[in-house]
Amino acid sequence: MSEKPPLAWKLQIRSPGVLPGFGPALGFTLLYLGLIVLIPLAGVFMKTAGMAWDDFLGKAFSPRALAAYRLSFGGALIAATINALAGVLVAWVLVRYRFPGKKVVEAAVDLPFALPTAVAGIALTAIYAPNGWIGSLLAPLGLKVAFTPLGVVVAMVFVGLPFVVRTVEPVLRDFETEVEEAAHSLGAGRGQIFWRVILPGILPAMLTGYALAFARALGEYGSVIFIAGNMPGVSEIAPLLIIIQLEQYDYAGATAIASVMLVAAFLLLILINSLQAWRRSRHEA
Amino acid sequence: MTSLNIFPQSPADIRPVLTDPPWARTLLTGMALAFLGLFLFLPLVAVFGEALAKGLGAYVSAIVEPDALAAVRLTLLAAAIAVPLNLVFGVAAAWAIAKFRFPGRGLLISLIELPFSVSPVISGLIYVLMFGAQGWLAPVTQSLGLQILFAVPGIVLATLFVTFPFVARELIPLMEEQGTDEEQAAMMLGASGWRILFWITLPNVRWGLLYGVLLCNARAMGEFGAVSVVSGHIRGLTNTMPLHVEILYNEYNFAAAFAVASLLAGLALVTLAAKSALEWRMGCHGASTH
Amino acid sequence: MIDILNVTKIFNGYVALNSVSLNVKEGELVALLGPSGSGKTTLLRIIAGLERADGGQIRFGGEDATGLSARDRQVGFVFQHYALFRHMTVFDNVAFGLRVRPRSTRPSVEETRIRVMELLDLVHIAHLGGRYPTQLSGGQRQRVALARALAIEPRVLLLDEPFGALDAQVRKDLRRWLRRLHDSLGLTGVFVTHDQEEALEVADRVVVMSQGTFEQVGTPAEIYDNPVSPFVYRFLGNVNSLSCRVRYGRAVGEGFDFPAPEFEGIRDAAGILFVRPHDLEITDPGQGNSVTATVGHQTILGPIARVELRGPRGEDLEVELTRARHAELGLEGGAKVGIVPRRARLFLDEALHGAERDMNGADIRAVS
Repeated sequence: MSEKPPLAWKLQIRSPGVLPGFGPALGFTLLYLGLIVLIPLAGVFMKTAGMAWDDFLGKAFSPRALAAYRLSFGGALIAATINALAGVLVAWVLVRYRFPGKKVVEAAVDLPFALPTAVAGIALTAIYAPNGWIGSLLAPLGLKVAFTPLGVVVAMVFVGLPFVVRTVEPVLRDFETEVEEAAHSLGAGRGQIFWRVILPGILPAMLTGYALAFARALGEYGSVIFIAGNMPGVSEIAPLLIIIQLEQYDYAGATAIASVMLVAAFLLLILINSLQAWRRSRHEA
Repeated sequence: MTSLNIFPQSPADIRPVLTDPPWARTLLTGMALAFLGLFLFLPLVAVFGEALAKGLGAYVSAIVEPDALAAVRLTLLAAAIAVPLNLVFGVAAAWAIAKFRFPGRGLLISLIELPFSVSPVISGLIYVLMFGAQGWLAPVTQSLGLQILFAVPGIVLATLFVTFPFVARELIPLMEEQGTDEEQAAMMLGASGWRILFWITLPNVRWGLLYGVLLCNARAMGEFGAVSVVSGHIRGLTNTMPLHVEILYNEYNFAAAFAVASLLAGLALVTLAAKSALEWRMGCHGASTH
Repeated sequence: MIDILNVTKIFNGYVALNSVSLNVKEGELVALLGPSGSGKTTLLRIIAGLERADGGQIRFGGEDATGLSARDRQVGFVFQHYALFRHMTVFDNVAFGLRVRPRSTRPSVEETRIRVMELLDLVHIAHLGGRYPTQLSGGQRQRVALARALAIEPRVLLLDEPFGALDAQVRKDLRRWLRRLHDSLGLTGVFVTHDQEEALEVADRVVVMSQGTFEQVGTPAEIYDNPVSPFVYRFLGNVNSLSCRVRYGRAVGEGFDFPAPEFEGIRDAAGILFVRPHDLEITDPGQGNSVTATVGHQTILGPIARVELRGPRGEDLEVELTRARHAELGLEGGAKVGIVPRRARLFLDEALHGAERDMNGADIRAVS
């Protein structure tokens, strides 16, 4: 025991577990986590810290960058909202109804997790381009989807689609049907039961799914760039701007934007974790 | 009455209070299916449709073309390295986190899930900042004569990063749920640590483990953003399949782009099918043990 | 065989075990009895090596085992929820302990098979060898867990709430069977339970635990007949308590005045008289040395009748009678009766007296 590093030794004493291998397992976990994730990520902030404050502000919040944030955050917000509403609908239908092909639909909801983003990107573009299956239907109405901010939203809806469904579905499935029956016996109508009993019950899960879908859409790159058109200031998302800066060897500019996006991602992670803690506390209460 | 409806209620919901009127069922199901059709089925159909738009001959030649084959090889290689490494990591992390209680456990779980919240582009950028021309590790790699960026090692690193949490996050809740009773029983019977791991713990979570590996593999083979940043897009050398799709697409070689994309879409379908099968198995297993 | 010497365990500042000591003799079956949180499971896990003591020593057959890993203690442990390996058949579960032995002492495949079949035979589940744990009933799982623990030929068998998860009937059958098995194998065993009936029926000796300490250690008869503290009294079944004053060797209460010679020296102190429901007799009211009470609800419980009564100070009392006696009395709800303790035990009220709990108990034998 005395040869082990002091940290692992200390933790081992504290852990009530008597099973072997805690020290090596935790040691390897921390080492690998540090090498693959933490140290490389810290590089972004080290690089940012090396920049002059004015220089950082100028690069991180240039008009072009601001327009990119607006599109990334705004698009993600709209897409996540659509996904929250559609996600609850899909989860409801999957849990409560039976219809032909339900098993396939059930499995297909995860397609955006499994389909490479580049494939999704070119497929969505093909559909929504002015000469595509849907694009050609919308064009006469004067509605352009591909190569506009609207296209960005479409791609973001695609990548965020499973999140709300997958968080709401289990909650809806475990929903105690007695509660609904109780509400009914107390005189509540179908609509009242949904708004006053079911919705408050699935709200924490829905919000978690919303935040997850938002976070995913915010950082999304592969599926968006094909359909976006990538016009600077109009349909250029923040991740793309990072790549453009990199291709111009403007590492500082790329890093500045990346650090803004990373901070947003961390804040979202904290939000999601507290949402989940809230869910657990409600679940156990 | 309800038998006339094409959307009969599921048997679990024969309680009248929980039953929506038939028109509502039909309307809601229709809306949900329309939404999913628009966003899921149509793109999938488009991939295969466009891939075969120029006929089967063009499809096959786009796939057996040397650059395409090189891309397939590189994709398989990156996955073959990243998946086992993350598997080992996932098992080690899950053992430490699920079977023991220690301060900082919650933080560690959050840190493991961190790569999921990071934009793929940034996941690539971090390695450019480390190993790029002005990178802080560049002097080391240069003196060793190592080419990381715009080469296979960079692609592997980026893939490792984006697929980092998959196995661990699948195993941690599962192993926690299983508790430590069986491991303790094995220990009381004289089993060593490795024995316990390989004879007791891993067999108990084998479906979850496979599930994690499956998702990890799908992401490893399909990753685009992160790999795009570190690859340098050198045809036949540092192009993975998704990058090859992008190049063909940007060259307006749509049929070829969709042909290669259809391979990836096929992988996605296989993944989903296997995933459903595993979920069914795990569901059965779970149901019988509780 | 097992020596527990001043074992202490502290969880986050909470004392789970406070320097307890016990000697378990070869071939003895000891029950650790107590409410949840009394430290009984913690002590069992410390004996097994599944928990580390913060102080004290565990010895097996005179050898210090305190620092020995659970793996090397050669202790059979039956977990509360059995902890059967769910992906293995019953046969493989039982064989596990033999198969993980170091190569030099590992029995051959054939020897393993014979040994496992013997064990399955011993616990009467030889026909279930090919089943998986999920396909077994609770009682069958319990038997598998026991066979698995016995496979390593343990020096000591430890059982954590062995019947806790079973139905009442299975529980009864299984504990008699366990007792017989224990006798025929001559094992040294310790088991944890919160069920006093189980402890009294199965064990050679019972350790009553409360808040990390031993309240009383003794044979089932000693424990039941001479509880040393109000806690033990209350824990070993239903009990009526009547408050009284203790004055110069007498216990004086509402309607009664009993001799209590052990308390000769006490001038005036509050006391509590403990009486088991079956040690109370019902008579006519106001007759000599009796407590006047009002008859409440009456229940027939198979061979006995239970009468609930309200005492003079509003206290709830309970009397158990034979059916014959009950019929003879023909009690009616609301009727006033006198109740006479045949046998009672007096404790001084600790809150007022502040004395050691196990110092102030004394038997009272009433003259009816």
